[in-house]
Amino acid sequence: MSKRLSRRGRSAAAPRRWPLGLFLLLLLLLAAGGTGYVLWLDQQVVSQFEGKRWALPARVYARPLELYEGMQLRPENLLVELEALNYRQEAGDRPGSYRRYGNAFRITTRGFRFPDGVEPSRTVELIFDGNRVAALRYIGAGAPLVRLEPALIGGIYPSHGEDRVLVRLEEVPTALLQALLVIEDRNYFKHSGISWAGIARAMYANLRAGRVVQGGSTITQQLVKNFYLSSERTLRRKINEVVMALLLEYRYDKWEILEAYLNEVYLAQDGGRSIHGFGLAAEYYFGRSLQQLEVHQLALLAALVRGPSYYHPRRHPERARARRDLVLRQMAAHGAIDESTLQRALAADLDVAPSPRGSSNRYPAFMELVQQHLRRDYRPEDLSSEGLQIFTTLVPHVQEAAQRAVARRLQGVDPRLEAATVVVNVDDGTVAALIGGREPRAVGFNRALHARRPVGSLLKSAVYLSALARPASYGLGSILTDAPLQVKDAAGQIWQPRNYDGRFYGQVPLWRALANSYNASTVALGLEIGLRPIVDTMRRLGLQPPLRVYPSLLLGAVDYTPLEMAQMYQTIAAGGYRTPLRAVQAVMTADGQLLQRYPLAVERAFGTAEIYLLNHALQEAMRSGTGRSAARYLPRDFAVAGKTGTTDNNRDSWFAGYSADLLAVVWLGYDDNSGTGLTGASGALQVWGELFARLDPRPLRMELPSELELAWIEASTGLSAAEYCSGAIQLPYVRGQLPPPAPCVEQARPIREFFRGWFR
Amino acid sequence: MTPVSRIAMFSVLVLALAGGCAVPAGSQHHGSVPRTGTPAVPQQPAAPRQVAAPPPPAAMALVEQAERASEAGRHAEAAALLERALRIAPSHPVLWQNLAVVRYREGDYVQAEQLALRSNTLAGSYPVELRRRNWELIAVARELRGDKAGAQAARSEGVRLQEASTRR
Repeated sequence: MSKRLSRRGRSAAAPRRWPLGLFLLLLLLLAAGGTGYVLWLDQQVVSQFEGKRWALPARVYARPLELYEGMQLRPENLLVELEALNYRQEAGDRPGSYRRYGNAFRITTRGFRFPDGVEPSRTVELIFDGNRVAALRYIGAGAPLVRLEPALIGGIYPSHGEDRVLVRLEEVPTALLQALLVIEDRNYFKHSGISWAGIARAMYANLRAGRVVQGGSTITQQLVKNFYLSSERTLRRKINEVVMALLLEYRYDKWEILEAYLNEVYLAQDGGRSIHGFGLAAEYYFGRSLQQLEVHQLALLAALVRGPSYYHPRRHPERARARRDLVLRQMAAHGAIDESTLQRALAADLDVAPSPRGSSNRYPAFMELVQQHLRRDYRPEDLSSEGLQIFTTLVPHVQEAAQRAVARRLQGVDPRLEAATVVVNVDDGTVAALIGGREPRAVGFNRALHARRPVGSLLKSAVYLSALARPASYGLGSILTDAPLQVKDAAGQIWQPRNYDGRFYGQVPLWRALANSYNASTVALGLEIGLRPIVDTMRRLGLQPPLRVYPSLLLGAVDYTPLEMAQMYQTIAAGGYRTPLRAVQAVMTADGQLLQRYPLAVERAFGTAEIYLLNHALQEAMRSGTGRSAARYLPRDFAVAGKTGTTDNNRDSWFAGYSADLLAVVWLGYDDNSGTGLTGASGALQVWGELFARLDPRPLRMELPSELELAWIEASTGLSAAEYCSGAIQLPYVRGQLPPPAPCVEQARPIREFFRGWFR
Repeated sequence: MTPVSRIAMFSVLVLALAGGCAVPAGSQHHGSVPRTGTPAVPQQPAAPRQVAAPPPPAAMALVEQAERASEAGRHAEAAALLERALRIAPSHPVLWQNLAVVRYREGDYVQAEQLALRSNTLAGSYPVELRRRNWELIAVARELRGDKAGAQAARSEGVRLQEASTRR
């Protein structure tokens, strides 16, 4: 429509030699067109204003931190969480602030509406004893735990990148309305949409300049500009603006227009997203909600309307301050604030939050997992327009620790070496952190989700689990043969598995073969069990096995992503209960209605006994096997379990390891598959160690299941022994499934009986 | 059959939620337990009672909230609260049992069974009563899914535990 109008305008100006009659006819047509044009504008104004539903991006939240007595959390990690929430270190118990006194913290939360209820703003005092919260005290009444707000970790934006938090007129502090009116449109409640004085002033300025340099806009006109019009500065646009402003005022209440303005006005640019409306601007500049701001802060927001980048308070603090003070003085001059309020406000600093965090997507790799999850249930346009609140499982201090661990271990190495990390809470399968590349902020190939790489020895756990599920044939002490053998691979080629160091170890106990990750003995064991049961074990561990398998599978010649490896090891770490990994816990509408929960679901995939036995061997790997170098990152005798993985020519360096509560899988490698020179132990394991050193994990403490007993086994033969036999070690065994007795027991029996007789 | 089971499970929930700490002597609740097809079990209080550590107060506060939500029929909310409690005390079998009961009340018998199994694997050092109740919950959940043989097997597990503990 507007295109057609402009074409008509041009054709009317061009011809010169038309007869008079035709000229008059044209005039008539123009008048009719003018009326039609106004009617059309009116229809635009009405349909857009009434139908105006701002596209609200989904807001994506991290898991909220809960504080309680006895919780394991080091003070540094609490600080990371407070930082993710933009808490300020200051006195006065204002919402979103804290103070630290050595081991003690005093925190005032902002309060939040969660899917399971409202958490009011509270002030608490915490006292740490080392890495433990020793005491938690409420100022006022309270329950034994306090839940902080969830940190905003990003949004799902529509393509135009507008972001806003809607506010209703009654939620807007009066001081902001006063500040806006005195500085932007003093006669707002008197004029009919346009200010003639303003237009006269603007016209004078434009005439002097010879072009359009100034618009004497009322709030109504500004809204019209933002709402309906492009930003070009032409006379036609100006006329449209005036007509539409008059129409808007004719049709709607002043308060309705003001409310729309408060939510529409552009107030900042943050990378690819633009900040609209005072609701989001309050969070963006001050890290607080609009209602929590003070007069000097509200005056600054009003000051920004004229030019958000020119008066940017972080980049141009002097300009911003001068204009804020102007707003404040005008407010006082018009009686909005009294003299003492004015003086206090003028004395206040700009007070903006140091850096806007939780704004742009800080954790793009995790966000991709979230979107992948949500895509199953939501259309993309709903995610970017309905203002949904997404409650995810990301734990900010774990994510930050993972990023630092990767950065630290990759410092100074070839910048092409890539990394991926997945951290999972063992019991409920929630993904606490995810890293898709060595530059965690970069948006790009997400290796945690998409890099399918050979998993190497990480797969051995499935082989040994299959064996340990057959207690009549195998126990931890069973002797395996680690010697040269030949097998056919996928290409039908004869292939000879060898150990990493090129040696063969002869007769080795089963637990030792896994802990030291021997290859030849693992292949022998796997061939003895058969590939089919191992494929079945893989499936029960939560993996999708390949359609055709070859013996090379036994050494991990099969491709999986780090996330899939996390699923596999989650099942092992959680006692054989498989829990689908999840990144989203709940989705709520913009106005706080719960739409969906993604609850915990478990499925028993393995017996307690076989998982316990596997865990025993994987703990041994960390104590004395391939994972032993992790000990330097952990407290003395801290029990963890894990498995290293290295693929041919050191192309992939893997590690999967866990404590009682946390599991992390780390992968290092090159995107082009070249050799890294790293083993699982010298690469990925070191990242894992750095990570766990920064967390507060609980050590593994596995209770011996009732089906098991601790038995003495002769290490060299795998036969039942007794404490007095030389070379006997204690291993958990399934009751009633002990191997036959070793000669030392047989030989000892008569002698012991003989001695026993003496004391009768 | 079904209504009886529901009543039985109701009593399980109340006990499990209220008795997070020391699992209380079972005398009052034995009356309502169904004994379909199983021999009567001697009802004297089990021999020396183990007293297990209760979940920490923060988790208990959530359990109490969950109890109120579940009573009001808001099972999804109750489950979410129990998940929070589990994050505080992940290896506490009473919390897993409570979650199992909430799933049962919701009609999710598959999860009710799985969560009760999970509770059992963590219950080694807890009073036998806890595991016996889990087996009962598993039995009823299986029955409601039409798995008669599985229900019978679960029931005999429960009886076996009971007998083992009274014999001691």
